[in-house]
Amino acid sequence: MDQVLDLYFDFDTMQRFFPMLWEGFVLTLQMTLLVVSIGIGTGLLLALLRAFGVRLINWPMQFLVDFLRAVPPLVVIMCAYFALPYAGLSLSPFVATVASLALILAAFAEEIFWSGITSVNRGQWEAGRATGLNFFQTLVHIVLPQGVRLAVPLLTNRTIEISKSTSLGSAISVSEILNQATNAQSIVANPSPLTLAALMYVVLFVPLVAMSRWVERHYRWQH
Amino acid sequence: MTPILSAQGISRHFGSITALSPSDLDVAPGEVVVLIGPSGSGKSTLLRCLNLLEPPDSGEIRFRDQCITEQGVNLDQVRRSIGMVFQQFNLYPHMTALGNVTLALRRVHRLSREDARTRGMAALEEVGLAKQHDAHPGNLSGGQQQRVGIARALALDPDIMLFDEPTSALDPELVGEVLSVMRRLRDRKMTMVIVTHEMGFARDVADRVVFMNEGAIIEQGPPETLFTAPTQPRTREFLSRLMEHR
Repeated sequence: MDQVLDLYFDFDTMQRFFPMLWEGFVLTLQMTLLVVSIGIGTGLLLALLRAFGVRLINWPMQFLVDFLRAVPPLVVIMCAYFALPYAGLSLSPFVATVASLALILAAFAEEIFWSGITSVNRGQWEAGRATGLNFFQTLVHIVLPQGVRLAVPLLTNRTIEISKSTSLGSAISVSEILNQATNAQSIVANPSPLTLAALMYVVLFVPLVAMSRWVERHYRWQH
Repeated sequence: MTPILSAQGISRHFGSITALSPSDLDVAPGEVVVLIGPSGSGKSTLLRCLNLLEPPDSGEIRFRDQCITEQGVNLDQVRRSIGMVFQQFNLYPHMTALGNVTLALRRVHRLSREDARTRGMAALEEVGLAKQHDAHPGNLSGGQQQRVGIARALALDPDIMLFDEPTSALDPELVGEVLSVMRRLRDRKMTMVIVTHEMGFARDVADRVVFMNEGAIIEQGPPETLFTAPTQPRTREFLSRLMEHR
């Protein structure tokens, strides 16, 4: 038992490396906010674009979306960081990670929003169009709010999952929480910084989980 | 009188199924036309063709002085003047009763929030639901929901209203309130085309009853003639079968 306490709950070590992990915390927070806002925003725009049913746009979009959903996030991040420079595009580790995860979230969000949009009853479209609303107005004011409501639980789960993948940035040396913690761990040969990292993830993601629950409740109306 | 709405030779197919054979229908201003017939006879298809919710495969439709089946017609513009009431109400569940009624006033007619509210409340008043303006559809009875559906169409001040089996999804005891709203509309000289299975109501309100069978108009005439002395055997058969169930 003492050994467990020494190894994982060494408060002196935690205190010593707190500033270092705090930097990682701030960075992870920034990445998360960027990934969530860019990913969900882009996903919504793509779903709206898809609703117009232009094949020339939808086919390549579908291909890209399927690709991003099929490939593990770490592979996407590695490709973005190590392969893109050969195409003349060099990204910083931070940008490569955020861009990869935002794209992956956008791909999932597009599919989720789309499934929400398509599960709205056809009668809702007809009611809107019959009162003189055009296609886009009907989509935005009538169909989308209902589609989003259906999409919210799926979306919040996926968002949390992909946001946590910011830790994969450590593989290309982004100094986010996990990277800082493993560095600290290797300096003192004690994994207590990992415990601190876990705590920080809890502090970071519990509000996100709570917020998602609030959003889910907010989008539920009486039927 | 020149018809306000005139459909000539309109037809509609779904795959290999003919839902509507080429049919003509004229509606005069202030006239109430009731479409009756067995299910699958093409009544709803004909009705839905009139505001091009189902675009007809052939034929042409004139509304007021405009041919609305031509290419390049602004249908959104046309549909502002054609109200539609649906069998399943199709209310927007995420909006209040008033929100349902004012959406098109705000977005299509571009009224200010206050003006839309005033007109929306007047329409709800007309169907006796001003008090429930803040309720969501889920908290209203079926009859109330359908009255909101009528108010939604009415608020746009349409020249003609289409009713697609407005009481078929209602519990029997709720049918009356919807029909009485429609009776009031007729007293106001609203032009209406109504698909219904309520024969008593059809007899009361119709200026003309149109009997359809297997996608075609079989016969039409004033209710007193059509209900008491139909000329076509199929009409007689349909009506007598209805009487048996009484």
